[in-house]
Amino acid sequence: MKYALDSGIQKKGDKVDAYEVQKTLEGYHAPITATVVKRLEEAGAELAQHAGYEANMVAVEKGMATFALNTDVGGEVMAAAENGLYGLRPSYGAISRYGMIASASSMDAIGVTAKTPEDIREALMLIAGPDGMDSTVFDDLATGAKSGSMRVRELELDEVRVKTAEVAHMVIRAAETASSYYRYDGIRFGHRAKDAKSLKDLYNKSRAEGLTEDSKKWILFGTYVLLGENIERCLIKAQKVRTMIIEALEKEMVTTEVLSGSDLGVIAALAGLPVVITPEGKQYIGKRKSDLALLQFVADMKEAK
Amino acid sequence: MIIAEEEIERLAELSSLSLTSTEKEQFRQELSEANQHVDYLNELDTDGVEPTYQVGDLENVWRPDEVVEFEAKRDDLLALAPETEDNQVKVPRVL
Repeated sequence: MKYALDSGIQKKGDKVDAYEVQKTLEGYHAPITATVVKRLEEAGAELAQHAGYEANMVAVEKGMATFALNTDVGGEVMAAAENGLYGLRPSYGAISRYGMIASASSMDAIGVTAKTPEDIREALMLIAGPDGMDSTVFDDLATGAKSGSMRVRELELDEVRVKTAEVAHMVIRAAETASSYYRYDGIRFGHRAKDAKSLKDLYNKSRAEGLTEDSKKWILFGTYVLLGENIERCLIKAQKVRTMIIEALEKEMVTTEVLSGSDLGVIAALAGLPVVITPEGKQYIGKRKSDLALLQFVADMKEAK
Repeated sequence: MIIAEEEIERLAELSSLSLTSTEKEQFRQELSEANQHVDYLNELDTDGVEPTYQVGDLENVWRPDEVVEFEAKRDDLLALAPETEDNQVKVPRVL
């Protein structure tokens, strides 16, 4: 079995090219191997390529890899459909993120894409499960809801709810990214500016030269929403909206196991729920830890067609 | 709410980022726009709602207090530093 790996997930000795921090990690070679990679190596899986997520999806589409693992902060895995693939953004805590370049820690996940839900399931069976290096990982993935009798209902999302979720996601992502990216200071690793006059000047210049414009925007906006005078109106408000979204989903799922709909990537990321997209672009959210059952549900839908 | 240029300068200082004047203007516009989107949130009534900081349900994950062999060796990590001397990371004079 071959797999494609995101360049933001580390394999000892390989280059790291997390797209948002490109220059700062030029010349950086991973000193560690991600837990997912270790588990795949132990299972005898072979690394087909270590590249960006678009290239990885193409590799799967062309049959060069059975599945791809990619970093996912807000449902990026949903792009699988554009490549004729299935994609899973797992429950928060299903897959260890140890060795993955962190951006928004409360939403960072490793997404899986493949040609069939069965292939994603197989990948998940190999890589999921507790890891001493990522304490958010739970150990009862397999005990989620049974697939046979899963009910599905359309989740009606009006424009305002979609927009609200996107904004809450943006604010939380900014705050967490600003915090995560503080590590790119040019001291122990990464790009260091040449002509700094003081330590503070070294930080300022190294970060200015090393980080991309996109990263700088996230950092500045994150710092803005974290300021004492803004935190209540911005970050805490977004975190309260996050609670409302989680509670609304829980209420919807009292009488159903699966919700279908569109624009579900960001919502799933905020709520930590698993979401699957089909090559036709159909999206399904399942209950927390029901990843395997959700994949089975999608496989059954495929059979029934 | 529009963000002023002085505000961007303050944010840049707090974020440890040197910005060019072009960047300041660019980020002033982009952040002002992002900030306007935040108004969407403030149309919602969140009275009495607790904020969610993380969605994992695990608490106090314990492990034995034992030394574990770490895969990265000192030399691997030192090799990543921009400057080293005598097995130490070299930094500009601080004091």
